[in-house]
Amino acid sequence: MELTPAKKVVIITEAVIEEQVIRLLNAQGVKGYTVYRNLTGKGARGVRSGLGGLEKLGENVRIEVVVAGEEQAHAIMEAVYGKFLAEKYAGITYLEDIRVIRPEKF
Amino acid sequence: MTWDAIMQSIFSPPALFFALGVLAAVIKSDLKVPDAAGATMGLFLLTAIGVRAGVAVSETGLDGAVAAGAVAATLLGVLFAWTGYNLLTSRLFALDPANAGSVAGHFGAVSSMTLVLSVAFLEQVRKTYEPFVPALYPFMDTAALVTAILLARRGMSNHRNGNGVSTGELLREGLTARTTVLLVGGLLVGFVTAGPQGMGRALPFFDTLFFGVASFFMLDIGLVAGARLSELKAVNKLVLGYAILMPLVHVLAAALTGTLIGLSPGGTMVFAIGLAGGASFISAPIVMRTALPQANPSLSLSLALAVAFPFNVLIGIPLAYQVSIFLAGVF
Repeated sequence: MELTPAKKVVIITEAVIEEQVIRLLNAQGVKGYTVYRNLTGKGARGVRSGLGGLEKLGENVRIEVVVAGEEQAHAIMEAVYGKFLAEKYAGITYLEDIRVIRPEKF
Repeated sequence: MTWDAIMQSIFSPPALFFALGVLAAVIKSDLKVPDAAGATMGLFLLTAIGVRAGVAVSETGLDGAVAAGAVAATLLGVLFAWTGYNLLTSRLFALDPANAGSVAGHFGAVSSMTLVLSVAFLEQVRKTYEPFVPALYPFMDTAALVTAILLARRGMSNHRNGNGVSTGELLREGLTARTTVLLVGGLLVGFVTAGPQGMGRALPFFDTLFFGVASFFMLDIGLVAGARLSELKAVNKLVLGYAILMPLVHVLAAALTGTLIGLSPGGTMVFAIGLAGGASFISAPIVMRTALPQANPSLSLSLALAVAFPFNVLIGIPLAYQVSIFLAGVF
């Protein structure tokens, strides 16, 4: 089986801005993404955890996007960083090298 | 205020379950209400209030008081947010515009769980209220949130600070929020299907379970409130005082308004404490986090949830009850 190199951008941030991040990803022309919800963790802003189902304020989401090229991956990370993570919201974004079966999907 | 009313409010199942939740959080018990269960109970309580209001409205009918109530609720929402913002940015409290707007918005907005408890209290003392009053929720809530956000944005010199959420979007969010949909939508469903062959068959589910679920749900809220108590240590004492006094001011202003627009003592009480007195800790934090990201989310949330809510459970609800009865005698 032949595998093609691709890039995975991971964004872990506040659940309240999930929709806004997705909107930004769509504007960047991504073809798909995966969202993990109800996440907790610790970072510069202390421990973040849920509020007993009252609301999603304290929760994190993890959004994964696979793209074909490094350039598009950088553009996505810069946009997410500039719009959300630089000062306003808790979160991180990082890049992973991966290999995929069907490169045309990304 | 009679001692009995306070006792009745303190030694009620919802208040004691709230206290138990706080205690469990403070002693770091492993007690936890699963997120999905907490969310489901919240949805059930709002639906129950809406549906039962709809059935009651179909029996009692509506009059001009609804329109007067909607106008009054909107004006009070704007007034609460405006007063709160100006007080909090004044030299006395000296909060920055973003935090002042966020706190003023939380306190001007409606706490759906205080609304639930005010309705539960009236049922306990067997007092009737105009069934449409809880459905005035979106008017006051949206008016207060939008006003507070606009004031805060105007106050922030750097306009790039905003998150690009427009006023139109804010209004749309307020009017499509789950609380609004459940309260107003439930009321319509209850109204349209009232009767033994319709809602009559589903009503026992909403009627019988309401008080029990309200009591049990307070355990969840107590757990979350208890976990935030430690955050209060960092809060300015004057701002803490604001969180205790402002609900009282809102209750008195709204009780007077409710009486003047001709609500019964029960309806006035729901208007005063259920809508005006509470500080929102479920819907407002999300709205503020997206609309005013510069504000510290745990400041407003801990004030609303760990100060205003318990204070209202103990003092606000019985006080609003007594004030409403007193005002009905005066006017």
